[in-house]
Amino acid sequence: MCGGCRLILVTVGTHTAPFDRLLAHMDSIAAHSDEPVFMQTGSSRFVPRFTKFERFLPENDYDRLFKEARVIVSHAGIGTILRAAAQRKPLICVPRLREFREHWDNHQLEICQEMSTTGSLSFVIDIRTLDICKITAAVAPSFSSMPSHLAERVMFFLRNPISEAPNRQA
Amino acid sequence: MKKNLDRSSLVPKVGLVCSHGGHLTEIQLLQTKLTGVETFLITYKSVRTVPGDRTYLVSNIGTKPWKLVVAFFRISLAIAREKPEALISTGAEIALPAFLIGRALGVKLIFIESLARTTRPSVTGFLLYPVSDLFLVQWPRLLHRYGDRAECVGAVA
Repeated sequence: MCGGCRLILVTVGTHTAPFDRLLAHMDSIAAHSDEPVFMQTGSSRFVPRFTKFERFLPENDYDRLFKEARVIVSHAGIGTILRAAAQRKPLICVPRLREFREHWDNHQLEICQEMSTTGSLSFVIDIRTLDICKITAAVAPSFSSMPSHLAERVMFFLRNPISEAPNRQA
Repeated sequence: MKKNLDRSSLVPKVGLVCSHGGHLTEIQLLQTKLTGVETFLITYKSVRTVPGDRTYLVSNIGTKPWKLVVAFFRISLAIAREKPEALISTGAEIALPAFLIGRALGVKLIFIESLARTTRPSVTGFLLYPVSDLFLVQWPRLLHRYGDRAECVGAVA
């Protein structure tokens, strides 16, 4: 963890659906926090009153903010989770839910449930339970402890494209 | 049907095809692990992507048929110019025209179901499973939703 960092980065990704629910909640937390909060608001309609924000950021700027942040509060987008895992950055997710028209299905909720079972991921479903204590207690995400051979499999196929018995590995 | 395009180099050239967001992040992560491979990228225009000599951008296809037609031609030009031996895609719908073109040109097709798909197949994966030469899922529970040719060998992370 970045001991000297004091920034909470809130990100909702580049999805076309808004995620006002997360932004509104975090804006209310920012109103009573002395720690800076920056929001990437994406396609959302909510306009924060107590934080700096941008709808979308160039890659370099987003990467800089991500590295500077003490903790990330995010939708459960796989890109954000991968980036936090790679940087060992504390992350707490609020999955976009179909019932609120935040996504066309509940796969983000499934990601949270699967990762918290096979690896580790901090998340909340009921946003009313998200507070500064839970944000501070967030851990860096990690995927399954199962070793990955995906890149090796792809490389082997590229060099030996003749079909062979598939390696199912259920 | 054209056969594999001839390449005198021993370094395989691979086209990486993906939409934006997490699909792009997964492809970029995989790209760092592909050693001794020459790559080019076909993806959507976004704040994260800039056109370049090895990066081809198309407008988000979404659900608009005319955008699919435009993307089809732009992707055709990219593949015809680069002459890859294989295409790798993590989805989403941008893979559909790319794999159709790749199949017609005899290019090997590798589809990797996104990490976002834990228990249910994506529509793109469902449609491209029959034509993929290598089909990988990243979550074991998804393996049994596909046929015998699907493989699970871990995650891109």
